Amino acid sequence: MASAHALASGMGGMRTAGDLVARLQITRGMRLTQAKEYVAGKLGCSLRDLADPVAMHEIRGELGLGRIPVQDLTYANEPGGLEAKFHIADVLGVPINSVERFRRRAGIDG
Amino acid sequence: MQARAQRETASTGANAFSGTPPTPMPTLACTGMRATAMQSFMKVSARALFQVTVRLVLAFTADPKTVAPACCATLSRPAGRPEPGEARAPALEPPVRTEHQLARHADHDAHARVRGAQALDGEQGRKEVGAALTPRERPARIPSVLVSCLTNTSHRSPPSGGAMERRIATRLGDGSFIEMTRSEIEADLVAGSELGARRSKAPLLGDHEIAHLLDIFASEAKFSAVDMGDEVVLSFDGCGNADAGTPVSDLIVYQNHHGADSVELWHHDYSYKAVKTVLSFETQAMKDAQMMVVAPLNYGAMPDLGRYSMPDGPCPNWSELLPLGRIAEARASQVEAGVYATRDMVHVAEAMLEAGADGLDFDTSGAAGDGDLLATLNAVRQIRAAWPDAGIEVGMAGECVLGMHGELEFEGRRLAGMWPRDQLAVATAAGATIFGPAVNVNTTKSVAWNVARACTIVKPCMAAATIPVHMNVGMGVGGVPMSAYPPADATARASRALVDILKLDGL
Repeated sequence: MASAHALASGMGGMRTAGDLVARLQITRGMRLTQAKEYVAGKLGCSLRDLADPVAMHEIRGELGLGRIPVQDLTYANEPGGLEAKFHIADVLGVPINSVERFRRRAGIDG
Repeated sequence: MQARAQRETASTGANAFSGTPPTPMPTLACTGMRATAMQSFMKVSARALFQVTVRLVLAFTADPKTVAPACCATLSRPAGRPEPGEARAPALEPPVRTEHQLARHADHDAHARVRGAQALDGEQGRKEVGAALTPRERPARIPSVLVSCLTNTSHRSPPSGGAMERRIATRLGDGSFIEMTRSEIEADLVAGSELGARRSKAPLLGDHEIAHLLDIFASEAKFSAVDMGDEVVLSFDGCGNADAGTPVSDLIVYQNHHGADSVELWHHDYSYKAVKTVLSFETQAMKDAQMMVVAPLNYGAMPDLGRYSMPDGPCPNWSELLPLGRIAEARASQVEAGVYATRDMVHVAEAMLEAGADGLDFDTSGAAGDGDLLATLNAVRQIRAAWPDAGIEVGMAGECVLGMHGELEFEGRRLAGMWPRDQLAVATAAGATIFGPAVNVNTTKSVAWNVARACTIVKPCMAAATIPVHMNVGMGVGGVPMSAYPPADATARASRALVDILKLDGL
């Protein structure tokens, strides 16, 4: 069922900018159109690019926002996991709870 | 009266259905006209079933007066192939549009209705006639299904050749296959919307919306999807089956392989009361997961107010007190349980946010009625006050809040009997950042019927929403069939239909 929904109407998560748009909804309460426009503005891309895995693969790589490994196509030398969230917080200009706690507990200055 | 006329049960001048009418022979007088119209329906329908030829006769009468036989005969039309040179039967309107000299009589009448169709009411009747019945209160707007019957656009042919209306494979709310004609699907869409509107006092879906839904559900394609550019955010609750790997592995799978835009860590015993007892393990899992997951990661569980009643909890069981008529005690118990539930929800939320969670999900809020919802709203308000940046999702259990208490209010608004639009308002007021309405599935109705009803009930939310609306579309809600493995064809149609019609912010 999850896959059916994802294919029928989903943005695509980390394949695209779906997780980024979701973050604006969850933490800022933005409606969909507003969240998409906000993210597109921050990424410097079009609204269409937000749901395009080809475009977003490049953009996410350039900005260090994390990419999904596919078999032998891995990204061990790129930001992933929490590392990517540091960049996401930076690029989008929104606080991310896990990032803030890691900074504080790791003794990393803002 | 001539013997031939006595035998005719319906006549349109050149076309007549003759034969031996059922006894007793109806008199063509006032009450006899109603009997005639009804018998025309029954006679033709019975003939159609036996001969496998579908013909439809509509006989109109207007209330409260009974129109004379001539006017009735003029307006009665057989369905079938037009005679050469004869125009197709026009789209019929109530008798006020007729050129007949008795038309002005209808002007004095109440709304015209399709008479005789009542004889074929019910499931079987609708299958035979393929018509939707209009409510008494509405002007007699002839559904397009009847127009298509009359205009012979798709199917009707004399016995000498031609095909019946094609039957399309679709699903019921329990996931089982059923075959329906396009007309039947349209009738279900209209009926589902009408019921949703009647119950929730929401406006009906428009003709263009019904037409769009019909295109989706009458398609024979295996899959259906939104147009490019209309994609929405998918926020998943309860990610995974916990049948392979760890709960954290499930999150990675949903993020990497299911295209989830946000994910949720959850415990098997999906209740804030239960989670409190294993909180240390859950918070460690959240911290570990935050190291690996990039997508927004919430923690979710149910408010589950019933857990706080005996024998599972400390409060007297209001479900047992209510049938005994001990209303005051039942209400007091729900209020007491709500205090405990709020405290537990806040306790778990604080621990999860300290562990790094991006937000909280209060799933199936209101499942135990208005007391359950109030406890949730109170928790949301406290969490919002302490954590201004936390994500908070309030997902409902059903389309209407049950009044198990009946008099509980949140900021002056009574919760019992609330429909999604008002549910959204109180969730927003409490401080939620996402609201998830839920419309339960009727497993005996078609998916089309269920989706139309769901769209009608939720649509009033969308214009009023100031926070994202993520409609619940899991198993048994939002039109998705209630089955262990919801079929992809039905899930995709429901998914697309809800997004297209409601312009949702997510699912």
